[in-house]
Amino acid sequence: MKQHLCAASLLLSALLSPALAVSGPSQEELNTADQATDSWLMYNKGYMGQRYSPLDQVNADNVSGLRRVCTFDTKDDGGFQATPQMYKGVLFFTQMYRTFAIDAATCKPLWVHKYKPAGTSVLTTNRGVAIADGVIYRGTPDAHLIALDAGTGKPLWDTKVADSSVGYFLSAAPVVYNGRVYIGEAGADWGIKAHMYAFDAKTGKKAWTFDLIPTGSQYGANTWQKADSTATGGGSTWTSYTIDAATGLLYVSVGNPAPDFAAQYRPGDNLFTNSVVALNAETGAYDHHYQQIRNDDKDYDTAAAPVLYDVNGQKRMAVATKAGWLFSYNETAKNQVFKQATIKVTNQEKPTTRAGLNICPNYSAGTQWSGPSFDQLNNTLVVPTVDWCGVVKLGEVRLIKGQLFFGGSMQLDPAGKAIGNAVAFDAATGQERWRYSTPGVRIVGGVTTTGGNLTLGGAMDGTFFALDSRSGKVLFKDNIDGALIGGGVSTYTVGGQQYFAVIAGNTSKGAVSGKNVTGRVAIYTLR
Amino acid sequence: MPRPAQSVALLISLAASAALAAPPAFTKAQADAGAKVYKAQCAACHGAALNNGGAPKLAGPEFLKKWAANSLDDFHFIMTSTMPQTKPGSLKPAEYLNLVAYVLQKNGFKPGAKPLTAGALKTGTFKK
Ligand code: HEC
Repeated sequence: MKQHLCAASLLLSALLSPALAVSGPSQEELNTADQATDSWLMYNKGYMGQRYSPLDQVNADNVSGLRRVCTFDTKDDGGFQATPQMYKGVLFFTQMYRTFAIDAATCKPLWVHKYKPAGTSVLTTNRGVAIADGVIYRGTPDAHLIALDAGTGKPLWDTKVADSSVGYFLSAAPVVYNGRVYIGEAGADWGIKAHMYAFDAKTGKKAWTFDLIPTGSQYGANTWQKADSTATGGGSTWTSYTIDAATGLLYVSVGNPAPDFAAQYRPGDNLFTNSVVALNAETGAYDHHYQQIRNDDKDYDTAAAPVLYDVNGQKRMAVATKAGWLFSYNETAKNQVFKQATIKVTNQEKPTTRAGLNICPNYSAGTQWSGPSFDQLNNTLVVPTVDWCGVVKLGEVRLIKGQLFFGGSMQLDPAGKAIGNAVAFDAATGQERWRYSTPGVRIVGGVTTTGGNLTLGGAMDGTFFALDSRSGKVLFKDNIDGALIGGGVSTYTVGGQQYFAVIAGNTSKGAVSGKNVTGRVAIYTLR
Repeated sequence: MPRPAQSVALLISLAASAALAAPPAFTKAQADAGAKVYKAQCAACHGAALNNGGAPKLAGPEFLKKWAANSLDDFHFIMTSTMPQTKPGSLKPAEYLNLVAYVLQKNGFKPGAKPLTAGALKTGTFKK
C-alpha cells in the first residue's frame, strides 16, 4: 500500500462556483440516513441498503405532473452506473475517472475532480462515493482509494489498494462508518484474489484486510481443494456494502470464482464466492455467511449489495443474484427463509460442457449491480431483473496478465430477446405481488420506492418510469434523451420540495456497440 | 494425447522459434480480409481506427506495450475465446487469423508473400 498527498493533482479539480464549506454528514446523520428525507447519503441510501424514502409529497395521485427541471450532461459516453447521492442540496456522483458535485435542484455544476490514474485499468466502471465529515471517498479504476474535500473537490489523500495491471479495480461505492472507509476489490473475471478492507477515514491508512478467498488456516480454506487455485480464485465486491449499525456487522456480497466457467480447475465450494459474508466492521473478523451457489461455473455473481429489513418483528437480510434468484435470510436464526426465482431459470444445476449448455439467464442478466428496494409501505422487495438466455461453454484455462480469465465462453441470445422486469415480492414470504415487464428492453438500474406508493426506475432505452407500488401499474414515463439507464434514481427535498435525480447514460464503456448518448443526470419535480 | 497432425504443427512451430527475430509473416490479402471482418464485427466497440472506441485499444504504443510479453497465440486465444463480446468464438478460424493479420498491419507490420498460419502464432509476437 502506497500513500501520498496529491498536491500536483490539485490542478485537476476545477472549482466552478464559489467554494462551499461542507462539514457533515456526522455519524449521527449517517446512522439515520435510511429514514432521512432531505438527503440520499449512500449508494443504496443508508446503511441498511433499502433504497426507500418515506417522502410522499410526490405520490401515486400526482406523479403524472412530474416535469424535468434540468439536465446535467457529463459529455462522456462511458459507463454510468451511479445513483446520485445528495447532501445539503448538492448531488455527488462518479463516472469512470471523474467525480462531480452539482446543485441538486438546478443542475448547476459546483466542482469536478478528474483523477489521473497511476496505472492501467481493465474496467472503468464506478458506482459512487461515500460522504462523511466533509469528505468524499471513492475507488478508482486503477485500484486506488481517494479522498476529496466535499466542498471543493480538492484531493486530500490517495491510497493505492492493489495492482491494477493484474486486473484489480475498485468499482464499488465505499461506505463510511465510525471513522473507517469500507471498500473491496473487483476483477474476479480477470483472475484476481479479492479482499475486503477498512481504511482510516482521516489518513487513508489500512486498518484491516479480510481475504475473500481464504487460504492456509483461515476459515473456509478447505473449500478450495486445490490450494493453487486460490491465487486466481476471484470473488469481487462490485457495488456497495450494507451495515447493521445495531450489531456493527458489515455485509459484503461476493462475486463469482475464477476461472468463471472451469469449475473443475477449483474443486470445492469456493468460499466466499457467490456469498454474502458478514464481518465485524471494527475488527474485520468473520461472523457468518450464506453461500448462494457453490463452485459456480456460470459467472452467476452475488453482485448487488444485500438489504436489511424487519418484517413481522423478524430481522431479515435479502439479496438478489445474477442467477435470477431472490434470497431472504432470518438474521436471528441465521437460516434461509425463502429462495424465489425472479425470472425464467433453466439448466443452472447442470455442469458447463465443451459442447455448450443452454442456460437462463446468461451472465449479463438476472439481477446485476442494483439490488432490491425494500418498500416499507407495502412490505415488498422490488427487484430489477432481466430475463435473457445464452449458451455457456467450457474451454481452455489460460491465464494472461490483465486479460479475462474465463476458462470458457458465454454466448448471449440476441439482445432483442431480453426482457426487463421490476418485480415486487412479499418481503416475508417471497410470493410475487406484481411484475412490470419491458420486452426487448433491459432494466438493470437501481429501483427506488417511496412513501408515496411510488416505485421509480429506468430502462435501457432511456425511459424513466414511476409505477404504483401497490399494483405495478405505470403512472408516469419520460424518456431521458435516449440515454440508456444503468444508474439509479434518488429522491430528496431541497427547500421543502421533493425532487428525483436519475442517472442515464451507458452501462459499461464498450459494452454496447454504436454511438451512445453521453451520460447525464436528469432532475425532476412537480411543476 | 495429441493427434499426429498436431504434433507436426508443434514441430513446425518449434522450428520457427529457432528463427526468432523474424517478424510474423502475413499477406496483404489476409489483412484486407481481416479489415472487412473487423469493420463488421469489431469496429462498433473498438473504433474504426482500432483505438477510438470505448473498448480497449487494438493499435498504438499502449497496445504494443501491453502485449509485448505475450505470443500472438495468447492474443489469438483471448480474441477467439472472448470476442466478439456477445458471441465469442462465433467466427470461422480463418476469419480470426485474418483479424490477427489486420491488427499486425495496423500496428505497423508489413505484409509479405508468406501467409500467417495457426502454427506460427505460438512463436510470433507484437515485438518489433
Ligand atoms: C460489444 C462490444 C465489442 C465488440 C463487438 C468487440 N469487442 Fe473486443 N472488447 C470489448 C471489451 C469491452 C473488451 C474488454 C474486455 C471485456 O470487458 O470484455 C474487449 C477486449 C478485446 C481484446 C483484448 C484487448 C486488450 O488488449 O485487453 C481483444 C483482442 C478484442 N477485444 C478483439 C475484438 C475483436 C477482434 C472483435 C471483433 C471480432 C471484437 N473485439 C469485438 C468490446 C467489444
